[in-house]
Amino acid sequence: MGKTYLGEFEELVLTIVALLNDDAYGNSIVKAIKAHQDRTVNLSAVHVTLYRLEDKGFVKSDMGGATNERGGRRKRYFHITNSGIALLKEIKTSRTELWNMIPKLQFST
Amino acid sequence: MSQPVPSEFFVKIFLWFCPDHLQESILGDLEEQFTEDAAEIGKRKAQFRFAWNVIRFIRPGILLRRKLKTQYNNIAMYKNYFKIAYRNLVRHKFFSIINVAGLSLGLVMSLFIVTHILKELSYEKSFKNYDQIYRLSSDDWARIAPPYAREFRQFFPEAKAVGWLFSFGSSVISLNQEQYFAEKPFMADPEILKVFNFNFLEGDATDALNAPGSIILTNSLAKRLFKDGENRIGQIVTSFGDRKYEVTGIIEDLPENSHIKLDFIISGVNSFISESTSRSWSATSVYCLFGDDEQVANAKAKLLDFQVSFLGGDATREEIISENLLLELEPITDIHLHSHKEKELEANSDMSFIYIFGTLGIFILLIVIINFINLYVAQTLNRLKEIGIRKVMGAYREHLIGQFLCEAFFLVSIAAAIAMLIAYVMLPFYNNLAGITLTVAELFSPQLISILLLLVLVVGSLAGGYPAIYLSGFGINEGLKTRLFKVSHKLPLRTVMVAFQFFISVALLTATLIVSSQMNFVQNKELGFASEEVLAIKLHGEIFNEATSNIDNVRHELTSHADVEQVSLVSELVGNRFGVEYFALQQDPENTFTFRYVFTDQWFAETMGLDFSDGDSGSKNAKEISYVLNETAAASLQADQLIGQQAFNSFAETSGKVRGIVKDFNFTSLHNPVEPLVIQISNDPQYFGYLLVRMKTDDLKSTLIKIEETIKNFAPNDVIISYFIDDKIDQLYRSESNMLSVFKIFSATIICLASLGLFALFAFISQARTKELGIRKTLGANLGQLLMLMSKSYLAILLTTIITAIPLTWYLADDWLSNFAFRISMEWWHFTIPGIGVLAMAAIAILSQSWKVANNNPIDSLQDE
Repeated sequence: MGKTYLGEFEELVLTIVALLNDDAYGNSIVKAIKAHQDRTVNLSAVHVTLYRLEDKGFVKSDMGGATNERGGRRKRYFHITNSGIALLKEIKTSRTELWNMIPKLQFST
Repeated sequence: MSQPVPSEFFVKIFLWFCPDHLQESILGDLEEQFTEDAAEIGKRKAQFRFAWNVIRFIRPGILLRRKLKTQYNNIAMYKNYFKIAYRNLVRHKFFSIINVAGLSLGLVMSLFIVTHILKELSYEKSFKNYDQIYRLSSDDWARIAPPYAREFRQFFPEAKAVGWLFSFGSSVISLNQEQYFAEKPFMADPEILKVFNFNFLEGDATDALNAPGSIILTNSLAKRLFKDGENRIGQIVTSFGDRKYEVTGIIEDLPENSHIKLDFIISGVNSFISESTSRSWSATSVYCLFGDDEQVANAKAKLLDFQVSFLGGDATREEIISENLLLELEPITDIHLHSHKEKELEANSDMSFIYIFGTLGIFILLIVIINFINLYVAQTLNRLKEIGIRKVMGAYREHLIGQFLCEAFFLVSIAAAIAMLIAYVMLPFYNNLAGITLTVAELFSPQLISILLLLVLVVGSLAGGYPAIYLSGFGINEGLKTRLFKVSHKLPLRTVMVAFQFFISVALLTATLIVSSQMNFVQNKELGFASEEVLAIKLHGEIFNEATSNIDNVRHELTSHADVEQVSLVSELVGNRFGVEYFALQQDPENTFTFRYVFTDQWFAETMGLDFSDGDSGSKNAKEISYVLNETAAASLQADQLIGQQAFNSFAETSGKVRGIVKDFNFTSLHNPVEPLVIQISNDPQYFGYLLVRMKTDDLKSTLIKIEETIKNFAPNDVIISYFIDDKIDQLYRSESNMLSVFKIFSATIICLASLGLFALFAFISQARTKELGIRKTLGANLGQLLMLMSKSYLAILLTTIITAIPLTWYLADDWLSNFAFRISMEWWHFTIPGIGVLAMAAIAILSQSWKVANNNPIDSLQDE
C-alpha cells in the first residue's frame, strides 16, 4: 500500500474526530472547528470529508441511538481508527522533524 | 411548545438526490442545525439556511456515493434477472413465442418500409450538386423542343451548364458482328457531362462527347461487349442500323435511384436533334446546372421573358400565361416523386406511396408495440407473488423496476435480432414483390440500425416500464395475498388500443379488396383489340431492312404457317401513349386538332383485331397515305361525312384521304380516357419500329419457334427482340400491382397482429376474472351465460369500430380509384366481407380464451389462495 497523503481540511477533520473522541458527528465537528479554530465550515463539506476518510480507512462510523431532537433521526458517530491515529502521529513526527531542520538564525532576530 | 419543522419541500429534494444509506444521519444533522438556527436567528432565516444547506449537499462527494454502492450489488443481481427472465420465457413458451414472433414480424415489416421509403427519397442524391440541377420542361410534358437547350444557354449564360438528353427506346449495339440488346440508349449534348458528374472509369468527361460519332458506354454494357476489357477506348461499335461509333468513355453504371437509366450515350453534335429547328417537337429532356439558389431564383423570374423570346411571334406574353405554355424549372430531386408528365424518362413513383407506406409503417409499429406491452403485462401479472417474495427478501423498488426493464429489453433485443435475420433472408422476396431493388447494405445502413436500436430502446422501456412501475408499487401484502382480484378488468385504454388495431385491419383489408378488384377489372377489361397472341418484333439492322423493303415476302412466309393470321408494321406499340401531331381537314384547314398518332400499314386493323364502325383501311395495294380515325377523333371533328375527305398532318407534312373510322379501343392504360387517335397508313419505312404478328395457336412455343425461324431466314445475323403486347400492357399497371402485393402482405400481417393483440387482451382479462367466473359458476351460471358475459361488450366495441372504419376507407378508396378513367364502382361486399372476416377472427380469439376459463372447474380457480 502506497503512502497516503491527507489534504489540509481532511487532516483538520481527522484531528477533530480524534479530539471529540466518541462524540464526533456532523454537527459536533462543525461546532468544534468553530470553537477551536474560529473557522466556519459547511456541513456538507464535513460530511463529504468524513466519507472520504472512511473510504481511506482512517475513521469508521456507526449509528447512534434514536434521539428526541432532530426529528427522531439517529446520529452517525465517527471514530478514529488505529491507522488514523498512526497517520496523525506520523504527520506530527514529520512536521516536527521539518521544524527542527529550519536554520536557527530564523529565531535570532 | 411546538417545534419548528424544516421545509417539507427541501426535505423531499434532499431525499431524492441523497443515497439511501446516508439520508438519516445527514438529514438529522441538518435538522439539528435548523433547530438551533431557529432558536438563534428566527424561523424564516433558519428555513433559508436549511434550504441553502440542502443545496450545498448536491455535490459529487454525496451524489456519486450512490453509484458506487449499487454497482457492487447489481452485477450479481443482473445475472439473476437474466436467469429468471430465461426461466419465465421457457415456462410460458407459448406466450413468449407469440410475443417475440409478433414483435419480430412487426419490426421486419417496418424495416422494409423504412428502407423502401429512404430509397425512394434518395433519388438523384448520388449526383454531385444534385440540389442545383434543374429540369427545364413544360407544364405537362417532360420533354421540350431541341432548340430550347441552346437558346436557354444563350439567354441565361450565368448557368454553369445547360444540356439535353434524347432517349431512343431500345436498340441493338454490335461489336464485330456480335449483337447486344441495349434497352436504354441515349443521345446527348456534350454539356450534359457538365451537368451530371458521371463517374468516368476510362476516358475524359471534358471531351468525351465533343466529336460527332463518339459513344460513352456504361461499365456493364462495356463488360458485355468487350469480354477481355482491354483497350476499349477507340474501338468502333455499330448501332442504329449500320452507323459506326467510336468509344470515347466508359462510365460507371448509373445508380438505381435516378430517373435516368442508361446503357450508352452517343454524341449529339451535328445530329438530327442539334440540327432540328422545330419549336414544337417535344423531344429532349433539358437539364441545367446552376451555381447557387440565387441564380435559380433569377432564372425562374426570367422564364416568361425567355419563353416570349423563344416563341417569337407565335404567342404573346398573355397567351403564354393563359394557355399554360410557361416553362418550369423543377429540381431533379422532385422528379421521381412529384412529376407525372407525359414522356417522363421512366414511370415515376408518387409521394402518396410514401405517405401510404409511412402511415402503414407507423400503424404496424404501433400495433406491435401495443401488443407487446399488453402481452408482456398480462404475463407479469402472474408474477405478483414473485414480486411480493422479492420484496420480503429485501428488494428495493428500483431493483424490481430494474428487473422488469431488464427482462423487457432482453425480449425486445431477441425480437430485434430475429427481425434482422428474417429481413436479411426475406429481402429478395420483398424486392420481387414491391418491384424495387433494395440492397443488404441499404437494409442495414447505419441509419436503419440506429432506428432499430432506438425502437428497441423505446419498446423495451415502454413494455418494461409499465409493469416495472405499476406492479413494483404494490405493497408486499397485496402482492402475496390477492391474486389479481384488485386489478380492474375494465381497462378502457387497453380496449381502445385493441379496437384501434381492428379499425386499421378492416380499413386495410377493405382497401386491399378494392385495389385488387380494380386491378382485376383493369387486367380483364375488353380493350377493344386482341391483346393476346400478338407478338411484336423490334425492327433493327437487317430485320428492319427486310421487313420494310420486302414486307410482302415476309408476310407471305409468316402467314404460310397455319397459326399465324396476319402481319403488320407499326411505329409504336399499343400501351405506349402514342405521340401527338396535328390533324386538319382540307375543307376547314384553319381548324387544326392535336391528335395522337400511330403510323402503320393497311393490315394494322386486321392484325390488332380492331372493329370498323365505318369505312375500312383502304386498298391493300394503295401506295398513297390515308387516315383511319377512332370514334373519339371522328366525333371531335364534327364533320358530316368524313369518309373520303381529304385531310393533312401539318407536323409531318403529309396528306391523304380519311378511309375509315374504328371503334374506340384503349391504346394506353386505363388511367386515361380514350383520346382522339389517328392511324396514319403510309408505307414510309422511316416510321416503323415493330413488326406485329397476330397468332392463333394452341401451342405457343412451337409457333414462336416457327416465327423465329422464318425471321432468321430473312436476317440470319440479327438477334430477335420480341415482346408480347399483353406483357407491355401489364407493365402499365406495374406500380399498382406492386402496391397491391405489398398491401396484401401488410394487411395479412396486420390482421395476424391484431388477432394476436385481441388474444393477448383476453388472456389478460380472463386471468383477471378467473375467480369471478368461478364464483358465478358455483352460483349456477352456465357456460353460455359466462361466454356472453365475457365477450358481449367487446364484440359490441369491435362492431362499432368496424362500422366506423367504413366511411374513411370509402373516401380513400374513392380517391385512389379516381386515378383511373375506367374504374369499378365500390360494392357493398367490399366493405362487408372484410368486416365479417375480421369480426369472425375476433370472435375466435375472444371465445377461445373465454371458453378455456369458463370451462374451468371452479375448484381450481377458487382454491388458489
